[in-house]
Amino acid sequence: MEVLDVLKPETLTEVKSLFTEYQNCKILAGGTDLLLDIKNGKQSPQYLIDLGNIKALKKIEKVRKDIVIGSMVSFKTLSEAKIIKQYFNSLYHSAKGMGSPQIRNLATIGGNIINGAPAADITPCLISLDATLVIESAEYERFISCEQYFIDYDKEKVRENEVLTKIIIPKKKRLTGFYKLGKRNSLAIARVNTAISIEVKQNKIKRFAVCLGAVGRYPFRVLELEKMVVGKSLDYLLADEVLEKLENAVFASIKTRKTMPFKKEAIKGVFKKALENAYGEVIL
Amino acid sequence: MIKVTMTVNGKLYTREIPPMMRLLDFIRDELKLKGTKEGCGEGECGACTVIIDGDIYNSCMVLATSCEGKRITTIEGISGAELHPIQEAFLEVNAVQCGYCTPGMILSAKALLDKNINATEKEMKEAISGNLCRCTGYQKIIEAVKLAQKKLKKR
Repeated sequence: MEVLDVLKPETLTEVKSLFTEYQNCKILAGGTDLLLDIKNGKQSPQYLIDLGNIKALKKIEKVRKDIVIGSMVSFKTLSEAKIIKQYFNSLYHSAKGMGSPQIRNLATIGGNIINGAPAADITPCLISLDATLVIESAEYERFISCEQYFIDYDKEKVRENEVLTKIIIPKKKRLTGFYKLGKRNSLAIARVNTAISIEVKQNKIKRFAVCLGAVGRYPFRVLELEKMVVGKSLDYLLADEVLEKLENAVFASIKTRKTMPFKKEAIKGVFKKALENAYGEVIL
Repeated sequence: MIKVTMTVNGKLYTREIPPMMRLLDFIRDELKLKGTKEGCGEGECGACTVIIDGDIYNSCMVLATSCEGKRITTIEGISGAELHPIQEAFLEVNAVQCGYCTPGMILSAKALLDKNINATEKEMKEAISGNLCRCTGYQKIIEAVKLAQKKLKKR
Protein backbone atom coordinates (compact mmCIF):
# COMPACT_ATOMS: atom_id res chain seq x y z
CA MET A 1 0.00 0.00 0.00
CA GLU A 2 1.25 3.43 -0.84
CA VAL A 3 0.99 6.74 0.94
CA LEU A 4 -1.63 8.65 -1.06
CA ASP A 5 -1.16 12.08 0.42
CA VAL A 6 0.73 14.09 3.01
CA LEU A 7 -1.68 16.42 4.80
CA LYS A 8 -0.27 19.60 6.26
CA PRO A 9 -2.64 21.13 8.80
CA GLU A 10 -1.88 24.54 10.27
CA THR A 11 -3.72 24.08 13.57
CA LEU A 12 -4.42 21.39 16.12
CA THR A 13 -8.16 21.67 15.46
CA GLU A 14 -7.50 20.83 11.82
CA VAL A 15 -5.44 17.78 12.86
CA LYS A 16 -8.33 16.45 14.91
CA SER A 17 -10.83 16.88 12.09
CA LEU A 18 -8.48 15.06 9.71
CA PHE A 19 -8.78 11.99 11.95
CA THR A 20 -12.46 11.75 11.09
CA GLU A 21 -12.07 12.64 7.40
CA TYR A 22 -9.29 10.18 6.62
CA GLN A 23 -8.75 6.55 7.51
CA ASN A 24 -5.41 4.84 8.10
CA CYS A 25 -3.54 8.03 9.00
CA LYS A 26 -0.20 8.30 10.68
CA ILE A 27 1.24 11.38 12.32
CA LEU A 28 4.51 12.62 10.89
CA ALA A 29 6.63 14.45 13.47
CA GLY A 30 10.36 14.62 12.65
CA GLY A 31 10.13 11.48 10.55
CA THR A 32 13.55 10.10 11.47
CA ASP A 33 11.96 6.77 12.42
CA LEU A 34 8.64 6.81 10.58
CA LEU A 35 9.97 7.48 7.08
CA LEU A 36 12.39 4.57 7.40
CA ASP A 37 9.64 2.32 8.75
CA ILE A 38 7.48 3.16 5.74
CA LYS A 39 10.37 2.61 3.35
CA ASN A 40 11.13 -0.76 4.94
CA GLY A 41 7.48 -1.83 4.90
CA LYS A 42 7.15 -1.92 8.69
CA GLN A 43 4.34 0.62 8.57
CA SER A 44 1.97 1.29 5.72
CA PRO A 45 -0.30 4.26 6.36
CA GLN A 46 -2.34 5.72 3.49
CA TYR A 47 -2.13 9.27 4.73
CA LEU A 48 0.51 11.16 6.68
CA ILE A 49 -0.43 14.12 8.84
CA ASP A 50 2.64 16.37 8.91
CA LEU A 51 2.67 18.40 12.14
CA GLY A 52 5.59 20.56 10.95
CA ASN A 53 3.47 23.69 10.40
CA ILE A 54 1.77 23.76 13.79
CA LYS A 55 3.54 26.48 15.73
CA ALA A 56 1.62 25.85 18.94
CA LEU A 57 3.35 22.47 19.29
CA LYS A 58 6.85 23.92 19.04
CA LYS A 59 6.82 25.97 22.24
CA ILE A 60 8.44 25.50 25.63
CA GLU A 61 6.59 27.46 28.31
CA LYS A 62 6.63 28.03 32.03
CA VAL A 63 3.08 27.57 33.28
CA ARG A 64 2.71 28.12 37.03
CA LYS A 65 4.76 25.33 38.69
CA ASP A 66 5.35 23.38 35.50
CA ILE A 67 7.36 23.49 32.34
CA VAL A 68 5.21 22.59 29.34
CA ILE A 69 7.00 21.27 26.26
CA GLY A 70 5.20 21.01 22.92
CA SER A 71 5.42 17.58 21.30
CA MET A 72 7.03 19.03 18.14
CA VAL A 73 9.92 20.62 19.99
CA SER A 74 13.11 19.34 18.35
CA PHE A 75 16.07 17.90 20.21
CA LYS A 76 18.04 20.91 19.05
CA THR A 77 15.55 23.33 20.61
CA LEU A 78 15.48 21.25 23.81
CA SER A 79 19.24 21.25 24.12
CA GLU A 80 19.48 25.00 23.47
CA ALA A 81 16.57 26.17 25.64
CA LYS A 82 17.86 27.94 28.77
CA ILE A 83 14.80 26.92 30.71
CA ILE A 84 15.52 23.21 30.12
CA LYS A 85 19.17 23.48 31.11
CA GLN A 86 18.21 25.47 34.19
CA TYR A 87 15.60 23.06 35.55
CA PHE A 88 16.25 19.66 34.01
CA ASN A 89 19.92 18.85 33.70
CA SER A 90 19.16 15.25 32.76
CA LEU A 91 16.88 16.24 29.90
CA TYR A 92 19.38 18.79 28.65
CA HIS A 93 22.19 16.23 28.50
CA SER A 94 19.98 13.59 26.99
CA ALA A 95 18.81 15.93 24.22
CA LYS A 96 22.31 17.22 23.56
CA GLY A 97 23.77 13.75 23.18
CA MET A 98 21.12 12.25 20.93
CA GLY A 99 21.96 11.34 17.32
CA SER A 100 23.91 13.92 15.34
CA PRO A 101 23.39 17.65 14.68
CA GLN A 102 21.35 16.74 11.59
CA ILE A 103 19.14 14.33 13.52
CA ARG A 104 18.71 16.74 16.45
CA ASN A 105 17.44 19.41 14.07
CA LEU A 106 14.75 17.06 12.83
CA ALA A 107 13.80 14.63 15.59
CA THR A 108 11.20 15.69 18.15
CA ILE A 109 10.51 14.93 21.80
CA GLY A 110 7.03 13.68 20.89
CA GLY A 111 8.36 11.34 18.23
CA ASN A 112 10.89 9.90 20.65
CA ILE A 113 8.10 9.06 23.11
CA ILE A 114 5.48 7.80 20.66
CA ASN A 115 7.88 5.66 18.67
CA GLY A 116 8.38 3.75 21.93
CA ALA A 117 11.85 2.41 21.19
CA PRO A 118 13.45 0.45 24.06
CA ALA A 119 16.59 2.58 23.80
CA ALA A 120 14.83 5.96 23.48
CA ASP A 121 16.98 8.67 25.06
CA ILE A 122 14.33 11.06 26.31
CA THR A 123 11.87 8.63 27.89
CA PRO A 124 13.96 7.60 30.94
CA CYS A 125 14.49 11.28 31.73
CA LEU A 126 10.80 12.07 31.46
CA ILE A 127 9.84 9.13 33.65
CA SER A 128 12.39 10.07 36.33
CA LEU A 129 11.14 13.68 36.23
CA ASP A 130 7.47 12.66 36.79
CA ALA A 131 6.43 13.99 33.39
CA THR A 132 2.81 13.87 32.28
CA LEU A 133 1.76 13.39 28.66
CA VAL A 134 -1.20 15.28 27.22
CA ILE A 135 -2.94 13.30 24.50
CA GLU A 136 -5.81 14.84 22.54
CA SER A 137 -8.52 13.73 20.14
CA ALA A 138 -11.46 15.61 18.62
CA GLU A 139 -13.64 14.63 21.60
CA TYR A 140 -11.38 14.62 24.62
CA GLU A 141 -8.04 15.36 26.20
CA ARG A 142 -6.36 12.82 28.45
CA PHE A 143 -3.48 13.19 30.88
CA ILE A 144 -1.29 10.24 31.69
CA SER A 145 2.04 9.99 33.47
CA CYS A 146 4.85 9.01 31.16
CA GLU A 147 5.64 6.15 33.51
CA GLN A 148 2.11 4.74 33.38
CA TYR A 149 2.04 5.17 29.60
CA PHE A 150 4.83 2.64 29.26
CA ILE A 151 3.74 0.33 32.10
CA ASP A 152 0.36 -0.06 30.41
CA TYR A 153 1.59 0.54 26.89
CA ASP A 154 -0.85 -1.67 24.97
CA LYS A 155 -3.82 -0.02 26.64
CA GLU A 156 -2.53 3.54 26.87
CA LYS A 157 -0.58 4.03 23.66
CA VAL A 158 -1.70 6.82 21.36
CA ARG A 159 -4.55 5.65 19.14
CA GLU A 160 -5.22 6.47 15.53
CA ASN A 161 -7.54 9.36 16.38
CA GLU A 162 -5.21 10.84 18.99
CA VAL A 163 -2.20 13.09 19.02
CA LEU A 164 0.38 13.75 21.73
CA THR A 165 0.40 17.52 22.17
CA LYS A 166 2.32 18.38 25.31
CA ILE A 167 4.68 17.06 27.91
CA ILE A 168 4.32 18.61 31.36
CA ILE A 169 7.19 18.44 33.84
CA PRO A 170 6.88 19.73 37.41
CA LYS A 171 9.42 22.43 38.11
CA LYS A 172 10.84 21.22 41.41
CA LYS A 173 14.21 21.70 42.99
CA ARG A 174 16.09 18.50 42.36
CA LEU A 175 19.39 17.12 41.21
CA THR A 176 18.97 15.29 37.94
CA GLY A 177 21.37 13.36 35.76
CA PHE A 178 21.50 11.21 32.66
CA TYR A 179 24.06 8.93 31.11
CA LYS A 180 24.01 6.90 27.95
CA LEU A 181 26.44 4.12 27.20
CA GLY A 182 26.78 3.87 23.43
CA LYS A 183 29.32 2.34 21.09
CA ARG A 184 30.61 5.74 20.03
CA ASN A 185 30.00 9.42 20.73
CA SER A 186 27.76 10.53 17.87
CA LEU A 187 24.81 8.68 16.41
CA ALA A 188 24.97 5.98 19.05
CA ILE A 189 21.93 3.94 20.00
CA ALA A 190 22.08 3.43 23.78
CA ARG A 191 23.23 0.00 24.97
CA VAL A 192 22.17 1.07 28.43
CA ASN A 193 20.99 4.43 29.69
CA THR A 194 19.93 5.77 33.06
CA ALA A 195 18.19 8.89 34.30
CA ILE A 196 18.04 9.88 37.94
CA SER A 197 16.32 12.56 39.96
CA ILE A 198 17.11 13.36 43.60
CA GLU A 199 15.27 15.65 45.99
CA VAL A 200 17.41 16.51 48.96
CA LYS A 201 16.28 17.88 52.32
CA GLN A 202 18.74 18.71 55.10
CA ASN A 203 21.44 16.65 53.41
CA LYS A 204 19.22 13.58 53.28
CA ILE A 205 17.51 12.05 50.29
CA LYS A 206 13.85 13.03 50.44
CA ARG A 207 12.82 11.46 47.18
CA PHE A 208 14.73 9.47 44.60
CA ALA A 209 13.78 8.30 41.13
CA VAL A 210 15.87 6.13 38.84
CA CYS A 211 14.78 5.00 35.40
CA LEU A 212 16.70 2.48 33.28
CA GLY A 213 16.53 2.36 29.49
CA ALA A 214 17.54 -0.20 26.84
CA VAL A 215 17.32 -3.02 29.40
CA GLY A 216 13.77 -4.09 28.66
CA ARG A 217 10.94 -3.49 26.21
CA TYR A 218 10.37 -0.04 27.72
CA PRO A 219 12.28 2.07 30.24
CA PHE A 220 11.31 1.33 33.84
CA ARG A 221 11.89 2.63 37.37
CA VAL A 222 13.55 0.57 40.09
CA LEU A 223 11.03 1.24 42.85
CA GLU A 224 12.57 -1.02 45.46
CA LEU A 225 15.83 0.89 45.22
CA GLU A 226 14.06 4.26 45.24
CA LYS A 227 12.40 3.42 48.58
CA MET A 228 15.55 1.99 50.08
CA VAL A 229 17.55 5.22 49.77
CA VAL A 230 14.99 7.64 51.25
CA GLY A 231 16.32 9.27 54.44
CA LYS A 232 19.91 8.31 53.65
CA SER A 233 22.74 10.64 52.75
CA LEU A 234 23.86 11.09 49.14
CA ASP A 235 26.96 8.92 49.70
CA TYR A 236 24.70 5.98 50.23
CA LEU A 237 23.80 5.96 46.51
CA LEU A 238 27.19 4.39 45.86
CA ALA A 239 26.77 1.63 48.44
CA ASP A 240 27.21 -1.96 47.26
CA GLU A 241 23.64 -2.89 48.10
CA VAL A 242 22.34 -0.04 45.92
CA LEU A 243 24.40 -1.17 42.95
CA GLU A 244 23.31 -4.74 43.62
CA LYS A 245 19.65 -3.72 43.35
CA LEU A 246 20.36 -2.23 39.92
CA GLU A 247 22.13 -5.37 38.82
CA ASN A 248 19.21 -7.50 40.00
CA ALA A 249 16.70 -5.27 38.25
CA VAL A 250 18.53 -5.61 34.94
CA PHE A 251 18.90 -9.36 35.40
CA ALA A 252 15.19 -9.75 36.12
CA SER A 253 14.24 -7.67 33.09
CA ILE A 254 16.37 -9.33 30.42
CA LYS A 255 17.22 -12.75 31.94
CA THR A 256 17.26 -14.65 28.69
CA ARG A 257 18.93 -12.10 26.48
CA LYS A 258 22.49 -12.67 25.49
CA THR A 259 23.46 -9.10 26.38
CA MET A 260 22.33 -9.67 30.00
CA PRO A 261 25.77 -10.53 31.53
CA PHE A 262 27.23 -7.36 30.00
CA LYS A 263 24.32 -5.07 30.79
CA LYS A 264 23.94 -6.12 34.44
CA GLU A 265 27.57 -5.10 35.02
CA ALA A 266 27.41 -2.03 32.79
CA ILE A 267 24.39 -0.63 34.62
CA LYS A 268 26.52 0.00 37.72
CA GLY A 269 28.99 2.18 35.84
CA VAL A 270 26.22 3.92 33.94
CA PHE A 271 24.41 4.68 37.21
CA LYS A 272 27.59 6.21 38.68
CA LYS A 273 28.04 8.29 35.55
CA ALA A 274 24.43 9.51 35.83
CA LEU A 275 25.15 10.52 39.45
CA GLU A 276 28.28 12.36 38.33
CA ASN A 277 26.20 14.10 35.71
CA ALA A 278 23.72 15.17 38.38
CA TYR A 279 26.37 16.41 40.81
CA GLY A 280 28.42 17.99 38.04
CA GLU A 281 31.59 16.45 39.40
CA VAL A 282 33.63 13.28 39.19
CA ILE A 283 32.93 10.85 42.00
CA LEU A 284 34.64 7.68 40.84
CA MET B 1 1.01 13.79 -7.18
CA ILE B 2 1.24 16.89 -5.02
CA LYS B 3 2.50 20.35 -5.71
CA VAL B 4 5.46 21.78 -3.85
CA THR B 5 7.26 25.11 -4.06
CA MET B 6 10.61 25.83 -2.47
CA THR B 7 13.71 27.90 -3.00
CA VAL B 8 16.85 25.97 -3.83
CA ASN B 9 20.11 27.87 -4.07
CA GLY B 10 18.23 31.14 -4.43
CA LYS B 11 15.95 29.96 -7.23
CA LEU B 12 12.25 29.29 -6.77
CA TYR B 13 11.05 25.89 -7.99
CA THR B 14 7.52 24.50 -8.26
CA ARG B 15 7.05 20.84 -9.12
CA GLU B 16 4.39 18.14 -9.06
CA ILE B 17 5.85 15.22 -7.11
CA PRO B 18 4.80 11.91 -5.54
CA PRO B 19 3.86 12.48 -1.86
CA MET B 20 6.68 10.34 -0.47
CA MET B 21 9.48 11.86 -2.55
CA ARG B 22 12.44 12.63 -0.33
CA LEU B 23 14.13 16.00 -0.48
CA LEU B 24 17.26 14.14 -1.62
CA ASP B 25 15.46 12.74 -4.68
CA PHE B 26 13.83 16.09 -5.37
CA ILE B 27 17.26 17.72 -5.49
CA ARG B 28 18.98 14.98 -7.49
CA ASP B 29 16.24 13.73 -9.80
CA GLU B 30 13.89 16.68 -10.23
CA LEU B 31 16.43 19.49 -10.17
CA LYS B 32 19.32 17.37 -11.49
CA LEU B 33 21.70 18.74 -8.89
CA LYS B 34 23.98 15.77 -8.33
CA GLY B 35 26.32 17.27 -5.75
CA THR B 36 24.16 16.01 -2.90
CA LYS B 37 25.07 12.37 -2.35
CA GLU B 38 23.12 9.43 -0.99
CA GLY B 39 25.17 7.33 1.41
CA CYS B 40 23.26 5.18 3.84
CA GLY B 41 19.74 6.53 3.22
CA GLU B 42 19.09 6.17 6.97
CA GLY B 43 20.36 9.40 8.50
CA GLU B 44 23.60 7.87 9.74
CA CYS B 45 26.25 9.14 7.34
CA GLY B 46 25.45 12.76 6.51
CA ALA B 47 26.48 12.47 2.83
CA CYS B 48 23.10 13.92 1.83
CA THR B 49 23.38 16.93 4.19
CA VAL B 50 21.76 20.15 2.97
CA ILE B 51 21.06 23.45 4.70
CA ILE B 52 17.39 24.26 5.26
CA ASP B 53 16.69 27.75 6.60
CA GLY B 54 20.17 27.91 8.12
CA ASP B 55 20.28 24.48 9.79
CA ILE B 56 21.69 21.21 8.49
CA TYR B 57 19.45 18.23 7.74
CA ASN B 58 19.85 14.81 6.19
CA SER B 59 17.91 15.25 2.95
CA CYS B 60 17.22 11.49 2.90
CA MET B 61 15.05 11.89 6.02
CA VAL B 62 12.99 14.86 4.94
CA LEU B 63 10.01 14.70 2.60
CA ALA B 64 10.19 17.21 -0.22
CA THR B 65 6.61 18.24 0.51
CA SER B 66 7.59 19.18 4.07
CA CYS B 67 9.93 21.80 2.57
CA GLU B 68 7.10 23.90 1.16
CA GLY B 69 8.17 27.55 1.30
CA LYS B 70 11.61 26.79 2.71
CA ARG B 71 15.05 27.88 1.57
CA ILE B 72 17.42 25.06 0.72
CA THR B 73 21.15 25.35 0.07
CA THR B 74 23.04 22.51 -1.58
CA ILE B 75 26.73 22.32 -2.38
CA GLU B 76 26.03 23.85 -5.80
CA GLY B 77 24.62 26.93 -4.13
CA ILE B 78 27.56 28.06 -2.03
CA SER B 79 29.88 29.27 -4.77
CA GLY B 80 29.61 31.49 -7.82
CA ALA B 81 32.40 32.06 -10.33
CA GLU B 82 34.92 31.30 -7.61
CA LEU B 83 35.01 28.59 -5.01
CA HIS B 84 33.71 29.30 -1.53
CA PRO B 85 36.53 29.78 1.03
CA ILE B 86 35.55 26.50 2.72
CA GLN B 87 35.91 24.68 -0.61
CA GLU B 88 39.28 26.34 -1.20
CA ALA B 89 40.43 25.32 2.26
CA PHE B 90 39.41 21.68 1.68
CA LEU B 91 41.50 21.63 -1.51
CA GLU B 92 44.47 23.42 0.02
CA VAL B 93 44.93 21.07 2.97
CA ASN B 94 43.97 17.93 1.01
CA ALA B 95 40.90 17.25 3.11
CA VAL B 96 39.33 15.39 0.18
CA GLN B 97 40.12 11.83 -0.83
CA CYS B 98 37.25 9.95 -2.43
CA GLY B 99 35.10 13.05 -2.11
CA TYR B 100 31.81 11.37 -1.34
CA CYS B 101 31.41 12.93 2.11
CA THR B 102 32.80 16.30 1.02
CA PRO B 103 29.62 18.15 0.01
CA GLY B 104 28.00 17.24 3.32
CA MET B 105 31.13 18.09 5.31
CA ILE B 106 31.39 21.48 3.64
CA LEU B 107 27.74 22.31 4.27
CA SER B 108 27.98 21.28 7.93
CA ALA B 109 31.07 23.48 8.27
CA LYS B 110 29.30 26.32 6.49
CA ALA B 111 26.22 26.18 8.72
CA LEU B 112 28.52 26.36 11.75
CA LEU B 113 30.72 29.20 10.51
CA ASP B 114 27.71 31.19 9.24
CA LYS B 115 26.33 31.16 12.77
CA ASN B 116 29.57 31.36 14.70
CA ILE B 117 32.67 32.56 12.93
CA ASN B 118 34.62 32.17 16.19
CA ALA B 119 33.76 28.48 16.61
CA THR B 120 36.27 26.47 18.63
CA GLU B 121 37.85 23.21 17.47
CA LYS B 122 35.48 21.36 19.78
CA GLU B 123 32.51 23.05 18.15
CA MET B 124 33.89 22.19 14.72
CA LYS B 125 34.18 18.54 15.68
CA GLU B 126 30.67 18.61 17.04
CA ALA B 127 29.39 20.29 13.87
CA ILE B 128 30.72 17.55 11.59
CA SER B 129 29.91 14.70 13.99
CA GLY B 130 26.98 13.68 11.82
CA ASN B 131 29.14 13.37 8.71
CA LEU B 132 31.08 10.16 8.26
CA CYS B 133 34.34 10.08 6.32
CA ARG B 134 35.97 6.72 5.69
CA CYS B 135 39.13 8.07 4.02
CA THR B 136 40.71 10.99 5.79
CA GLY B 137 40.43 10.21 9.48
CA TYR B 138 38.91 13.67 10.02
CA GLN B 139 42.18 15.39 10.96
CA LYS B 140 42.56 17.06 7.56
CA ILE B 141 38.92 18.02 7.55
CA ILE B 142 39.22 19.82 10.88
CA GLU B 143 42.38 21.54 9.56
CA ALA B 144 40.40 22.64 6.53
CA VAL B 145 37.57 24.05 8.63
CA LYS B 146 40.11 26.00 10.70
CA LEU B 147 41.75 27.36 7.57
CA ALA B 148 38.34 28.27 6.16
CA GLN B 149 37.59 30.12 9.38
CA LYS B 150 40.76 32.20 8.91
CA LYS B 151 39.89 32.91 5.29
CA LEU B 152 36.34 33.93 6.16
CA LYS B 153 37.52 36.21 8.95
CA LYS B 154 39.81 38.02 6.51
CA ARG B 155 37.04 38.71 4.02
